[in-house]
Amino acid sequence: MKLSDFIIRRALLSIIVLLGVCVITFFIARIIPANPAAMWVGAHPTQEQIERAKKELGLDKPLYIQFLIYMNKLLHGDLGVSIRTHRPVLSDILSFAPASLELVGTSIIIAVVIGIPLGVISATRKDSWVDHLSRLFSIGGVSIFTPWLGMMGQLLFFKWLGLLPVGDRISIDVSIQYPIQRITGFYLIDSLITGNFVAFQDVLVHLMLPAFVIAAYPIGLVTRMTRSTMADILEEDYIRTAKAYGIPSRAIAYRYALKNSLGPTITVLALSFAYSLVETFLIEMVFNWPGLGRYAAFSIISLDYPAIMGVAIFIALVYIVLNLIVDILQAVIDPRIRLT
Amino acid sequence: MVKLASMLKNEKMKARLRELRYSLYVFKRNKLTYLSSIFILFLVIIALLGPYIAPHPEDAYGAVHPEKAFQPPSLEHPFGTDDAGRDIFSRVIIGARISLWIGVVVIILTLLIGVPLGLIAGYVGGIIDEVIMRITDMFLSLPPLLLALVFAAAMGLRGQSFTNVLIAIAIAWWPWYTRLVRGQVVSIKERPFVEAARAAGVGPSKIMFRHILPNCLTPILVQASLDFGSVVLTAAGLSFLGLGAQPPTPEWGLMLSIGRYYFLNYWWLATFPGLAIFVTVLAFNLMSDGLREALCPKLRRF
Repeated sequence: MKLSDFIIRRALLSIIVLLGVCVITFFIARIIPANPAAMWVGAHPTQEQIERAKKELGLDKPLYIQFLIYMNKLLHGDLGVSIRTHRPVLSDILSFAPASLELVGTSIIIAVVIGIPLGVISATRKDSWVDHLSRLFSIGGVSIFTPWLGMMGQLLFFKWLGLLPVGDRISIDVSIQYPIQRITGFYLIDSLITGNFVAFQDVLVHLMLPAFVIAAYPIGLVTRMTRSTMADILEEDYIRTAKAYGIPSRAIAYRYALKNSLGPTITVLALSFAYSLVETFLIEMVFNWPGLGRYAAFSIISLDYPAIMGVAIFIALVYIVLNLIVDILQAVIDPRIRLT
Repeated sequence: MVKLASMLKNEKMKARLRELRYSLYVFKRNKLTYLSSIFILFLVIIALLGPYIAPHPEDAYGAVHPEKAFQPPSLEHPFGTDDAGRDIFSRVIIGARISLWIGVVVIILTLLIGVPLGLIAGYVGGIIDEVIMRITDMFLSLPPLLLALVFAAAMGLRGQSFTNVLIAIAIAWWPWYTRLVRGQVVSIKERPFVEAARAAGVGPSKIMFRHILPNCLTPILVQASLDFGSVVLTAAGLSFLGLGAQPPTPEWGLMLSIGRYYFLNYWWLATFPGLAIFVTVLAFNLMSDGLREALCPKLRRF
């Protein structure tokens, strides 16, 4: 299959999946609430008000027409109006997303920097104490309730050691004395471009604890994935040939084997990114992080379902697009993938 | 002839026994797995006896003692007392039965939805297979915690209840089993014994449940034990956000969510419920990791 054909087929598949997600959110929003019209009107509605709300919401039309109306709105970027903030859900999401993406992005970088070397070491020294320790560490990372890990981090690093702040994205005094000019919404990038190094350092310090807490799960996943694919590849003939040539084993591991074992790891990273975005629902509450997760958590508490569905669609979109990019990248790097 | 058949049967039994013994050996060889399965046994006993062994069982069911609030850990209260003066040790102990109950019920519900769908998709094939698997793909394209949150929140519109949470998590989880079972069925259904059964005139539902299902039980069980820990974590997450378990239920996630407001001054409020979640999930993950290694090394998740 040609690369362009592969990309087109893969993109079409993504669109179908995205459509499916919209079907799910539509059904949840329309069918599960016992009486959406009554919810819209508020407490103690009269029969007339309910009838009028039904007309307004299009609930008197057949289901498939309701779905078409819903899809039409979605395609125009209309995710509805939040019951809690009374603002369009889309503009809420766009204003809160950068804070969360910055947090999750940092976590994924941490997972790569720690997880991949740890996986390589475990694979090259199978069944050594390093391997056992890294296995325990990874299983521990996926077994921990992350909000608890966050709270324990706050106790240790804020309360007892006094090294890190307890929460927020930036200290109040720094944000007043050295305000960050909003360009991208990513504080690290914005403060760096404008040369605002005091704010940059402050933002970085605030980012440390929540980013490491969210990274706990991806680190474990990346370590195990790198270890298992590396272990398989190290058994292959071309590695034995390289060994026979007398190439140092470090060079073999990092230069020859690692490159070919990165594929599955990258897929796992894309998956981790989406999972971590959901994890922020819990973590941003603990760290008072003004991002998408805290917005979603507040929406959940106040049963603001247009907002909840909006966030769900946003995360699904991020996940699907990431997967698409990863698959295309892999097809470019490794032509064998295009065959399937 | 009869003798030969019984001899063959005997041989088969012996081979099975040998296999089982080998699996048991692999399972026991790993000390961590062995220890964690003993710990799980201990947890199950605690869950069963909870209200009878907890020193202050009434504290788990709505008793309040404001005069004893925020006492640090002591001999009388090993894990200290919370904001309402309740004994955290007793609440953590009684919380064990709630978390294990959630895990068991959700896994059973998940299997009840996911396994039959996978069997049908794999065995019947054709358009039914396509429809079931495309629906499965839709669900798989969202993280399970997000799906569970969305369902629980939507069902919360009809009133908060604990059952909602169990159903919400099961709805988020079944597609993994449908995909797993379908894959197994597709490879099994071409084997001679299935063909023989079909030739003998056995009906499709009997072939699916009596002949094919027993042959894919091992990966299902391993996957279920792998998922147990994730289900407990997901349920804790839902309670943490205020969906599902409501105060004064001693659910560990809910205890953490309330402890969040006080723990910087009174560390024991959050530390012990979270530790309970950690050791429980860790034990299940370690055990199922060993179980997977012993029973089917091919099913790799890590």
